[in-house]
Amino acid sequence: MNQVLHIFRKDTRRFWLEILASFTALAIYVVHYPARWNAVQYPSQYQQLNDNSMVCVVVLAWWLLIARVVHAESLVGDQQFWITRPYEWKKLLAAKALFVGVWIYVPFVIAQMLVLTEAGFSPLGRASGWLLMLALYSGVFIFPLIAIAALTANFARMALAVFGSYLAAIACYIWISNRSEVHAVSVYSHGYGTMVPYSHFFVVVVFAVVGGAAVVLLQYATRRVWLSRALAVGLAVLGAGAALALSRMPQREVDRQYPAASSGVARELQLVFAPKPGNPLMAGVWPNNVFITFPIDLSGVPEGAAVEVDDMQFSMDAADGEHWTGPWRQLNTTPFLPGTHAPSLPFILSRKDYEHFKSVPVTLHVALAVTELHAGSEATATIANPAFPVSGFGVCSAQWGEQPQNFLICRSEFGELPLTYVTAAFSNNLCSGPQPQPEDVRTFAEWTGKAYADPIDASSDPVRLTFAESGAYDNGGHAHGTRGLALCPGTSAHFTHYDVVRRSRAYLTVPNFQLPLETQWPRN
Amino acid sequence: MNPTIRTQDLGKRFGHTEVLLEINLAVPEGAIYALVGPNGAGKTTMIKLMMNIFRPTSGHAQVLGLDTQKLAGEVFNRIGYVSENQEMPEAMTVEALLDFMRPFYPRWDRALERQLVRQFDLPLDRKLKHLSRGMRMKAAFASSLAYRPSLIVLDEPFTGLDPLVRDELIESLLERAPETTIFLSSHDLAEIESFASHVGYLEEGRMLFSEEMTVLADRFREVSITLPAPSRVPPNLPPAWLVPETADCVLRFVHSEYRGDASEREVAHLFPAARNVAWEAMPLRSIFLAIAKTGRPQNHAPQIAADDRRPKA
Repeated sequence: MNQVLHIFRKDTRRFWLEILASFTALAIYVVHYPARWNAVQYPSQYQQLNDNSMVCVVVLAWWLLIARVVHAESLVGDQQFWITRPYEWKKLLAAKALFVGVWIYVPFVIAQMLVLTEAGFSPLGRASGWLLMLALYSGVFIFPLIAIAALTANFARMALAVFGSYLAAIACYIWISNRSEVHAVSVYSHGYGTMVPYSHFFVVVVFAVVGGAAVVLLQYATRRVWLSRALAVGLAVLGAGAALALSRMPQREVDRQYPAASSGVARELQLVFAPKPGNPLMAGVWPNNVFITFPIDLSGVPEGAAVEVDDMQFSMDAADGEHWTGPWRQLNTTPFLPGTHAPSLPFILSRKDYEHFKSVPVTLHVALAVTELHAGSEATATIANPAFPVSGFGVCSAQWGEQPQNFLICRSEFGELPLTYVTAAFSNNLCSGPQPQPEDVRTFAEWTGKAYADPIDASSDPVRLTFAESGAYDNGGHAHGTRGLALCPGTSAHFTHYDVVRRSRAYLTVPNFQLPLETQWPRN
Repeated sequence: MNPTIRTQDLGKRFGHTEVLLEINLAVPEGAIYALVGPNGAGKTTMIKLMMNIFRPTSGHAQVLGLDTQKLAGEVFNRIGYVSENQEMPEAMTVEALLDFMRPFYPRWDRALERQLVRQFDLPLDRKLKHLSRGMRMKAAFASSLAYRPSLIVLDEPFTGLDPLVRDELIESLLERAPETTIFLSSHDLAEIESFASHVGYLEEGRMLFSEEMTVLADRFREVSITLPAPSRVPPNLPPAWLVPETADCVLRFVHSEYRGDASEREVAHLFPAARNVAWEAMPLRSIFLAIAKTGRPQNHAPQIAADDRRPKA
């Protein structure tokens, strides 16, 4: 007798209803998934709720299935019939692993293949994407659930343990987020503005997969519950500690990853302190901090290149020798193309420091951590309904329901789209009748995608959606509103990929700088 | 011949509570060993140590020649274990349980299985959770006897069963007896007295005695001595004289080391004026009551000989 298959068959016969429930949840998920790009303009709150609730339903079905199959031969207690029967623990574990593989992983992979096919991609996708996604689901849901099931005697106790773990994880996340708030930089979280970079979460995922496997292995091998529980708690604490330690790394990482420029675009960047009516120097007070909008002109980006300012750091030297240095902070802006730009940098310092320096002129230093980008491959696609493929990019749509729109929703498989500059000509929103004269045509021009894709965030779904909405630019480069305009079928859209060339730093020094007085923030 | 079960200074502690203390016993092959004692004496703990469900705190035990801490997997092909509190796969029907168990055991005997099903009148299509307590126990017995185990371990198997079911189960056990060693626990003396070949008495974690039933019966006598005048219980009686008491002119006690003429001479020597001395064999229940009242281990209890014999029917 093959004990593994024998136990597997028994579990399958016994839990067919739970398996069916799990399949039903997955089927609804697959059917519902395309609504993300088909039905709505923005993922509305309701839509987002539905998306999340469908994933929740799938996970709840898995939870039930895992609890039932593990508790069928419960590892906790001293009265289970099977512990005095000729079960071999390795074969029992293998049977349970086979069950999870066949009834959870395989249907999940098939479901995601269907989603990929529906989205217009190859069902096989990218191997790295599959690995990351499966690791993510394993680490966040499946392995912890199996481990908790192995450490509890029944579903009620498991539910308590799951909710306890969930609350502990949230408390841990909040604690780490609070501790790392002032250190948020973009090294690990480009463009998200998150307090704890998603990439750090991968440490927890790895801990959950490895730790969960270790706990399950120990428990099946020994059935020493308290030892296994101690291991589980120890690993969880270790994982949280590692996540905390990593959340404090980026400050040092910025220094390491953005060296002072010896060549390249960063050296040629021209940064000028440039307050003007439309972009003034202002200070506003928040309970314990003072926020200063620091206006600059940025130019010097050569043709064929672009610059993304990832982080910035302010420091001050007063005449009396006092020195102040702030932390690196993340700056969420789109990349800068050739030309002159007038961004405003958020300069944040504590109320105490502000009071100390506001009365004396200081020498202000601004360091910018920049990513140098160069234009790479290009693709031109003709806008079509309901969607059109863009070579090397993904599948895009400029249609909502039956109506052409003035924005693009693009989807990519297993990951974020590469950083891309998209241009296209707007038409009138009827896409028929008289169209603007060539000199009056307004241009859609927008960045989309990411220079640095976050592997974790990008892997939680098989299909990644990216939304691009642009102003309508006239021939002089001035932005106008897009009311009455649309991206119509038959129009060409141009996609230019920008590749990361290097990271470096650019500097601006402002002598005799006077911190502005506190003002009321202008009302829009 | 090696005993089927042997323990040496076996002890188990839960936290600060000593549940079992230095248990030494040996169960010879083919014996029907009854471990008796009041509720909370440590019988179930003892059995769980033997089945490697618990790990001993001190000492060690061997079952079928293996250290109990190594009992796992294939060795359970030779052991049948049934407990009153066992969690069975409730959602299975009796037939599904037997079908599921069968492939685990290379020595599973289909004919015996059918015989047991008939003998117990088991409803094959009923789920275990829908069975009465007696029927559940029968199903557990059937799934544990059908592979002809070398050792059957039963933890309070007859508790709460009606006499008819109990007799059916005992009958099925006795049918297996020639080929199997049986170890069972019970707090009911009457239910094991008729068929056990060996008995051990456990109280508050201590084994008060462990020996063959016939030897035990031979060893105990209730003694009544008629004295010439009313008297109190004399001091300094031999330690083997248990629960001495007087009523009027009669001194009664339980002699726990009865050795025929030698014991009678000993009484005559200590009570030369006795007008009459009566020696009566004791039922098991009276023996246990006497020991329980005394509450001390029987230091002279002999280890069970490996070449023991079954009691005569």
